[in-house]
Amino acid sequence: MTDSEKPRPGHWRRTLVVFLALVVVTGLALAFGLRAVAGTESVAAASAEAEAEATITFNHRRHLAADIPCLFCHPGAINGQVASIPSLQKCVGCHQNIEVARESGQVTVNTVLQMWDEGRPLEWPSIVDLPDFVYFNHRPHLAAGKNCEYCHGDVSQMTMAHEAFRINMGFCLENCHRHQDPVKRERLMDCATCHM
Amino acid sequence: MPDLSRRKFLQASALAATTVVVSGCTVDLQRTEHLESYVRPPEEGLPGDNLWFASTCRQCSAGCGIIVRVSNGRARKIEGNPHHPLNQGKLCARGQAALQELYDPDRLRNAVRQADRGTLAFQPLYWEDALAELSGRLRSVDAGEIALILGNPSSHLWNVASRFADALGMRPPLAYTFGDELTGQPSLLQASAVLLGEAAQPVYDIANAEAVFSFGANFLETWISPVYYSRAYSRMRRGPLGKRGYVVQFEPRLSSTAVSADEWVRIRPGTEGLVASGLGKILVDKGLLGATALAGFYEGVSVAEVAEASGVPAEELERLAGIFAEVASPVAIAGGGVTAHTGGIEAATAVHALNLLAGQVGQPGGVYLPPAPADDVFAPPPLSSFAEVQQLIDDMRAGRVKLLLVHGANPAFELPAASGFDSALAGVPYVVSFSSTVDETAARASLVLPDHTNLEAWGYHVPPVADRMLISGQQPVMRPLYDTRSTVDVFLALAQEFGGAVSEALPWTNEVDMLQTVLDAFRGQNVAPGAFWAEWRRRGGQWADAPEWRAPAASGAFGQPLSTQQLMPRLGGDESAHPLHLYPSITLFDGRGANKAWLQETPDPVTTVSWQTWIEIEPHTAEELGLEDGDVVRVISMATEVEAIVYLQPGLQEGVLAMPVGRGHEHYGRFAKGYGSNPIQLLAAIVDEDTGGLAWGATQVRIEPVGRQQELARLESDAGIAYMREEH
Repeated sequence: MTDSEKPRPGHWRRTLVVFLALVVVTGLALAFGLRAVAGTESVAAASAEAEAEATITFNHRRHLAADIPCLFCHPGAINGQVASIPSLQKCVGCHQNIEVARESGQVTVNTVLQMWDEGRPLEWPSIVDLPDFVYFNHRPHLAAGKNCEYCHGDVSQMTMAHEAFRINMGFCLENCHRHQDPVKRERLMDCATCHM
Repeated sequence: MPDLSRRKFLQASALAATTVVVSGCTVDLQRTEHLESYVRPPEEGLPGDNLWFASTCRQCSAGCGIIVRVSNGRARKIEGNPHHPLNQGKLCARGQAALQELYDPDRLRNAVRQADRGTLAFQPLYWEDALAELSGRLRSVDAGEIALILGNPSSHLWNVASRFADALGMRPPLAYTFGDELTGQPSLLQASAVLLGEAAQPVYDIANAEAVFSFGANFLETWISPVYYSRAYSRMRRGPLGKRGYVVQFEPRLSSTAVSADEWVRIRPGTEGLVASGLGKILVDKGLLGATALAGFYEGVSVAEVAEASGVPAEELERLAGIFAEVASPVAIAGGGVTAHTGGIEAATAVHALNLLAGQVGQPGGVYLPPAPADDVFAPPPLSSFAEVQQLIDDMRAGRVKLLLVHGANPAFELPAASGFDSALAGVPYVVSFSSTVDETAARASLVLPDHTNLEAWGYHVPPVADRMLISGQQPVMRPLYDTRSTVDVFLALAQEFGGAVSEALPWTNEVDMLQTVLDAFRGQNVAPGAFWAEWRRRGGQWADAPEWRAPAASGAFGQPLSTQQLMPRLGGDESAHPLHLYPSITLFDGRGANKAWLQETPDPVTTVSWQTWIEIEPHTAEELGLEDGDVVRVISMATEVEAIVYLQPGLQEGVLAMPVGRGHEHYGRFAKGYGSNPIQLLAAIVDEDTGGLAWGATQVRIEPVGRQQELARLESDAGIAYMREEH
C-alpha cells in the first residue's frame, strides 16, 4: 500500500460534508421547481402560453353566450372517460352556415374553414393534463351531479380556456372527496380509487 | 490513472451529481403537450375507449383470425382471435407486426403514374384519371395479351380477379409467391392430387399423433399454417393420450423446428424422400407394421444406398423405423424440403407411403383433407407453379404480353435472376402494380394503383389448411389512412364500364355489396340480412363449431414402385461447389416482412442475427475453406453473385451452405432498402417436370472471401455458438 492510498483522518468527514451539501442543494432546487408549478400566478401565464400555442384563439365566452351547452362540443364528458376536443368536422358543421368567414370577416373562422379544406387538424395546448398514474373518468363525476364549472371554473367568462383551479390531489380531496357522507368518503378517500 | 484517489473520485462524483440535479430543476415539471383535434372523428367509439374489431391476418396465406384494438380511430395492437378455430387466440410475430404495414411511412398515398419506368419520378393521379387510363390501356390491347400475377390473394380477390380475367378473355391469372415455393405449397398440391385424389393441402392431425416424422416441414416457423400447427404441437406435447408426443425432424439444417424436436436427423440436402423410402423398406422387410404384402412397392429401394447417399447410418434408420412402428399413431409430414428438388412427386410419395403403411390416412393423429368447399367461391385460392410463371416470362420476352397487372406479388424481387424476369419486364409496354408500397416491381411499373392495407380492407379468406368449414372474414378496423382504393373495387368499376359479359360475370356494385351477396349463402332461414352481417363482422367470419375430419377418398401411392435411383438428389454446378440450402426467414418470410422494422429487429431464433444477411457454414467446412466467423464472402452461382457474412453453424450438414431469404431489397421502403442481400437471385431456374415447381434446393454455389470482416449484429455472444461449443 503506497502513501497516497492510505486512509487519512478526516477523509470520511469531508465526504459527509459533500454529501450533506448535495442534499441541501437538491432540496432547494426541488422546492423552487415545485413552487413554480404549484403557484397560482402560473395560471395566468399558462393561459397566455396556451393562446400562443393554439392554432386559433377560440372564444368560449361567445359560444356559451349563444347558449351552446358544454356537452355539445365535449360529449365525451358524459359518455366516457375524457371530455375530448371537438373535431374540425363539428366546427364546420355550424360554421358553414353561421358566421361564415367570407361574410363576417372573422379571422378565426376563416382559419378553421381553411384547415378543413386542407384536411389539417387544429392544434391545442393541453389545459388539464393529469399524470399517467391518475385514473380519472368524467362520467361518474357528472353522474354524481357535479357540473362542469365545479372543476373548470366559469368558462363562460373565458376566451381561451385556462385552468381556473390547479387540479391536483389536494384539489380533489379537500374540495370534495373528504366532505362526502361517511360511506362515500371511505371509498373516495381510498388510494386505489384514483391510483388503481 | 495513478492520480485518481478515492477521495478525488468521490468529490468529482458529488460535483457531477449536484450539477445534474440543479440542471434538472430548471426544466418545468409540468408537461406541455399538444393535442390535435380530429378533422373527421372516427364513426364509432369514444375518445379514450378501446374498440376491438375481428378480422383476418393476411401476412401469409394461412388466414389466422385476428382482433385489433382500436382507440381514437387508430389501430394500436393486433392479437389472435380467441374464437377463431384456426389459431384460437394465438398469433405469430409477422401477424403482430402488420401494424407497421399500415403505418409504414413510405406507403404510397395516392395513385401514381411513372412515365419513365424505374426512375421513381411518380406523378400523382386522381383515381378517376387513373381508372380511365387503365381502362383505355385494357381496351387498346388484345385481351389475350393481358396477364395478371397475384401473390397471396384472399379468396374474394381471387374470385373477382379470375372472373374478370375469364370474362374479358385475358390469360388465366397466376397466384405465385416465393414463400409458397419455399414451403412447397404448389408442388404439394400436385402431389396431393396424385396421392390423395384431390388437389388440396393435406391436414396433419399433429395434436393426436404420438410420433411426428417431419421431412423438411418447418411447421413451427413458416410452413403453410404455422400457428395452427404450433398449437397442435403444443397439445401433442401435453399428451392428450397420456404421453408426450415424439418429434423427429429430417433436415440438412438445424432449424427452429428441429431445435424443438426430440431428434434432429442431419441429412444431406434433397434426400428427404430417400430417407423416407429407406424407413419404409425397413418397416416392410422386418414386418414391423404387419404390412409385408407391400414388399413389391419397396423392391427398388436399397437401405445401404439410402444410408450412403443421405449420410444417415443404416442402424440409425432401423432405430428410427422402430420408433415409427412402436407408437399407435405416427404421422409423416412432407414439407417444403421434399419438393425442393426434381422428382418431388416421388419424394412426396415416399413420405406419404409411411402414412399408408401405418394405416394413418384418415385416422386420428394421421392425414386428413380439409372440408370440401360448398362452392368454388369458398375454396382456398389455387396456387400456380413456377413452370407457369416461367411460361409467362417467356411469353413476355417474346412480346406476347402487352399489359401486365401485378397484385400482392413482388416478382422483381422474388424470382431468381436466371428466370429472366427483369429483362422480360422491361419488354412489356405497360405494367400496372397494385402495391401499397413501392416495391421492386412497383418501381418498374407504369401505373401504381395502391390497394388498402389489410387492416383497412374488406374481404374473406378460406384457409388452405383447416380442420373444419371455415371462412375467415376481413373488415376495415379503421378508415383508410390515405387515398388508396380496394383492388376489388377497381375490378368491379372496370367491369361496370366494360359492360356485356364482364359486368354479367361481376354483377356487384362494390366490394361490400359483393361480400353481402356472396355470403348470404350462410344466412339462416329466419335471420335478417342485417343481423347476419353484424354477426359475421362481430365473430370475424363463419365456421363450423366442431371439427369435420375428412378422410381422403383415393390413395394412389402404391401405383408405381419406389426406386433409390429415382429418389437420388440431382444437383447442378461443378464439384468444387456446395449445395445451397435456402430457408424462409421466420420474421421476413420471403421478403414481404422486410419493410417492418419490428421484424427486421427481431433476432433469428437460431442465429440471433438481425438486420443482416448471413451465410451459415459448418465449422469443419469453414476450416477447409479457410473462413472464419464474420468474414464477408461472395456467394457465386451460375446466374449471379451476392455478398454475405459467414456464420459458423455446427447445426448444419457438412459441405452445405445455408442462407435465409427475405433481405436484400433495392426498394420497398426505408426499413427494407439496402439491408442484407437477396439469395433468391442465385438460384438456377431448374424446373421439376412433374410438379412444375422450382427445384430451389438443386443449385450449387461457390464462395470466395472478399477480404474483409464485418461483425454480425447478434444477440448471443460475439464469439458465436461454434466457439462456445468448442470451449465448453
